[in-house]
Amino acid sequence: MTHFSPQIQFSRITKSYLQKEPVFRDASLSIGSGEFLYLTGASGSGKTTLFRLLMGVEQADAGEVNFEGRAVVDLKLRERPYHLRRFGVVFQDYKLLGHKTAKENISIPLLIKGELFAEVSHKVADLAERLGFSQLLDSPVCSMSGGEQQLIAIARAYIHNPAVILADEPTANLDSQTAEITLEILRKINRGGTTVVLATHNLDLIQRHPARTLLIRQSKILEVQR
Amino acid sequence: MKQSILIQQVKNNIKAHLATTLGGLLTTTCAVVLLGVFVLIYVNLIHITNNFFHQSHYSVFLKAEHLSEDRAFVLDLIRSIPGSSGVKAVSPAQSKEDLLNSFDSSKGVLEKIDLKHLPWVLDFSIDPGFHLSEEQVAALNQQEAVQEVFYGRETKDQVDTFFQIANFIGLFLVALLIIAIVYIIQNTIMLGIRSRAKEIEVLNVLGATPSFIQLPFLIEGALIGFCAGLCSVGVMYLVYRFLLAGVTFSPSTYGLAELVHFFGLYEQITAVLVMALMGLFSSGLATRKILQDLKP
Repeated sequence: MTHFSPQIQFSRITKSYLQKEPVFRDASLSIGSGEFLYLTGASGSGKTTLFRLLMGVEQADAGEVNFEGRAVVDLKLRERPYHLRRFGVVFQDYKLLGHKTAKENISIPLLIKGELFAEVSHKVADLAERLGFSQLLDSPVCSMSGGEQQLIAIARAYIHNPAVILADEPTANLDSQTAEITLEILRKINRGGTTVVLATHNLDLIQRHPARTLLIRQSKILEVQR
Repeated sequence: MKQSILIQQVKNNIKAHLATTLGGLLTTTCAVVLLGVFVLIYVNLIHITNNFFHQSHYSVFLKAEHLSEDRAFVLDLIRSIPGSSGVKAVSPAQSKEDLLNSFDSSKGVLEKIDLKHLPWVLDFSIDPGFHLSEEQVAALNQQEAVQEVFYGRETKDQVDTFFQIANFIGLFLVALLIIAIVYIIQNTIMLGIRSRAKEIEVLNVLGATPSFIQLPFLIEGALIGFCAGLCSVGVMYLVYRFLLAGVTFSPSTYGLAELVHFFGLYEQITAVLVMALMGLFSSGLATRKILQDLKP
């Protein structure tokens, strides 16, 4: 078994929305650097909330979220954008800009970082070639299929070499063949040293490609024993 | 190179909501033209009025029946006033001729009126730096031959009162128009931001700094202000030429053409720069307000 140094730590987190039952109550977890893991649970169990807590977009009611040894809550306002850049997020609804081309969409994280246009073009072309979608670069995203859009979303999440990729139900809207391809790409990215946290309730996928799996149930984060 | 990204973003912003930007530019230009024309008329009115009073013309009307020795005595008295110049005695016949000449188009009608009761008038000016005191006016009034000394104090007081009221109303109107301009630009930018809400949400979540998101909108606001300033200076100049043509068309107002003037080059440049700053300020208000709501 591979041992990873802890990169993400949730210590006794409690989080609730308004008067509802808490999403997390005293929940803890630890994710090592370079790890690939599944996060599973019923719809609305708190997978997306976990991502948002980690990104610092939301604050926990109690407990502490640590990323690379630093409490996320301690981040100053001006540090938050730089904290967000440590993540590559694949959203369930992709959050791509439909009127823009694939190239323009993928370029955004690099432009935000202030990289030069020429450099950005080169990096995007290189990644598209590695992931096998060079022919799509100049097409507007709105004209693409769901699978192709997913590919663009993953490329945008990975283009700036983030420390962690958070993929929120990336296979939910895809057929099994495209889901396999998507998972293979995420695995490939992980082999390059990037931590990948994949939120899914596709248990077949988990069984076919086993990895460490965390289950969110009754406001707790449980380790699934294989 | 970061600048090119910024320029690209500004271009994208404007392209994404071109109709809104053009609408905002047009409305802002109209408001600035209104403001500018008001200021132009007001400034010229003050200039013309000051010019009129600055000359300090005085007239001493003599009684219908007076002795020529008394008239000569009054003339000497006027000449002894410090700063007096251009002292001249205008006879009733000369007065009549001047009157007829000044009403060129109505000359025929006036000629038929009996103007034999026009008085002798002693005209004089007081040079800048000197003034006619109340005591000197009283001394003139006490003379046997003098009917009245007309020195425009009452008229000047009335004009001063008029300008005091106009100042108050003018300041109120200027403030109102400035607020309107700020609101127009602010709303234009707000519409632009709302039309790109999804993009801003994506940028936020991908780690864009607030300045990365705000700067293109700030520049767009400044550009709207700058372009509106430029356009309105052009439109105002056309309005000015049109009014000037109207002034010179009539012989009775022809003389005013020399006194009326347009804004100087530095004033025009300052106005355009102030408009750009107002655009920047307005878009700053808009971005601060809306981007808070669009935080992830």
